[in-house]
Amino acid sequence: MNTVIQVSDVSKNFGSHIVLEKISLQVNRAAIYGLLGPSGAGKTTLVKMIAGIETPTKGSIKVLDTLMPNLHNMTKIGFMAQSDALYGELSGKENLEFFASIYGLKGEKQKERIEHAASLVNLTEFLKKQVHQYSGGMKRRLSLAAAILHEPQILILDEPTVGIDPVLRQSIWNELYKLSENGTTILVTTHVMDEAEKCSQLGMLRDGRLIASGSPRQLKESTSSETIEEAFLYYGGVRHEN
Amino acid sequence: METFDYIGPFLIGFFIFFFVFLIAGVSFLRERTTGTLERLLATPLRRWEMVAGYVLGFGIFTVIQSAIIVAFAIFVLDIMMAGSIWFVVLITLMLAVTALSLGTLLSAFAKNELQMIQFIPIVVVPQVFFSGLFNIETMADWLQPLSYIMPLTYGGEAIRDVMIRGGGWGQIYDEVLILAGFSLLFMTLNVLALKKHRKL
Repeated sequence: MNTVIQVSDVSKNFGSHIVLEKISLQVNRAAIYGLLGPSGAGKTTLVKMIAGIETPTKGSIKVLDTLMPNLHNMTKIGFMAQSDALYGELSGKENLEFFASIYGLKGEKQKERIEHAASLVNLTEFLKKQVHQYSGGMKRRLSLAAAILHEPQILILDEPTVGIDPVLRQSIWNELYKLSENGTTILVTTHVMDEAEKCSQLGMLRDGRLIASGSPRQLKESTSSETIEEAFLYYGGVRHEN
Repeated sequence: METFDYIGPFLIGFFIFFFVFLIAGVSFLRERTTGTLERLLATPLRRWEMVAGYVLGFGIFTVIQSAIIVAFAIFVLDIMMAGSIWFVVLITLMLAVTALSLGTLLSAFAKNELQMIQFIPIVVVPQVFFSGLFNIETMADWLQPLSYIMPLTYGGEAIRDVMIRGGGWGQIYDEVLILAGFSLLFMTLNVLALKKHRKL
C-alpha cells in the first residue's frame, strides 16, 4: 500500500469565500479514487490543487512524496479539465501533436503514442478533422486522449463522462480499469451516483467538506443503504442534524 | 514632398501597432476563455516559456505582416523613401513585438473580447497623438511628458527618420532599443500577471 496522493488538512478560500475546509485524503497507487459531490462542492478546486494549478490556502498536498505545486511532478500527471481545452481551428491530430510536444514526445515515439491514445478513445478515423466540427462527446474523448499521451503515473479527470453516451461511457471506464491495472493512479470527479460505484475508493464532498470516504461497499454497509445515493444522503443529513 | 509622404510613415507604424495589439490581445484572451490556458498550466511549461512562445509564434507572422505593409507602402503607394527599407522593416517589427507583448499583457485584464475592444480608446487612440502626426510641442504642457511612455512615439519617430530624412542605424538605434525595452517590460509583467492563474 503506497500512497501516491496525500492531501493533509487542506483549506482553500477565494477572498472571504471558503471553498474547501480541512480536507484530508489519501490515494494509493493504482487506485481509482472517485470524488463524488454536487456541483459547487469544490471538487474542481480540489483536483486543480492536486494537479498543481491552484495552491492551497492552508495545509499541504504531496504527490509522489513531493510537495505540490512542483513543475517536475507535473510531467507525471495527466490532467483532463472540465471544459474541453482544445484548439478548434486545429485538427484532432494537430491538437495531440501540440500536447505531446509539450511533454517532450518527438518523432516515432510521438506518432506511436498519438495513434495509441486516439485508438483508445475511438477517434483514429476523425483525427484529420478540425476540432470545431467535433461533437461534444468527441471533444471529451480527444481531451482524454491528450491527457494520457505522456503515459502519466497519475491521471486526474474532472467530470470525464459528461455528455458522453452510455456505450462510450462504458468503454471509457473499461479504459480506466485497464490503465489502473497497469499501475496508473486515477482520480476522477463525478456528480453521477451510479458512476461512483465503479471507483475503488470514494470521497464524498459537500459544501467544501469531505463528509465520508471509503470503498463504495464500506460506505453502503456502514450506512446500511442500498445505493451510493442513499449513503450520500445519510452522510449529508447527519451533518445537518448537528 | 506631398502630405501623403508625411503621413505615410506614421500610418505604417500606427496600423501595425493597432492590428497586432488587437489580434494578439484577443487570441491570448481566448486561451483563457476557452480553457486552453488552464490546460497549458497543468503541464510543466513555465510561465515565461508560454509568454515567450506566444511572442515568438506571433512574431513570425508579424515579420511577414511588417514586410507586406512596408513593401505595399513603398512600392505600390509610392511613398517617399529616403533610407533603407530594411531599417523600416526592423522598426515596424520592433513596434509589432511591443504591440504584441502589450496586447497579451492587457488581455489579462479583460473578461471577454468586447472588453479587449475597450482598450482601443484607452491604449491605441492616445498613441495616435504622440506618433508624430501632430506636433508634440504644440500640445498642452502637462500632456507632453506622456509622449515618453508611448511606444508609438519612438516607432513613429524612427520610421520618419529613415523614410523622410534618410537616416541609418545611427539615427534609429536608440528608438529601436527603447522599443525592445518596452517589449521586455511588458513580457515580464505578463509573466507576473499569469501568476494569478498559477503560482509556480
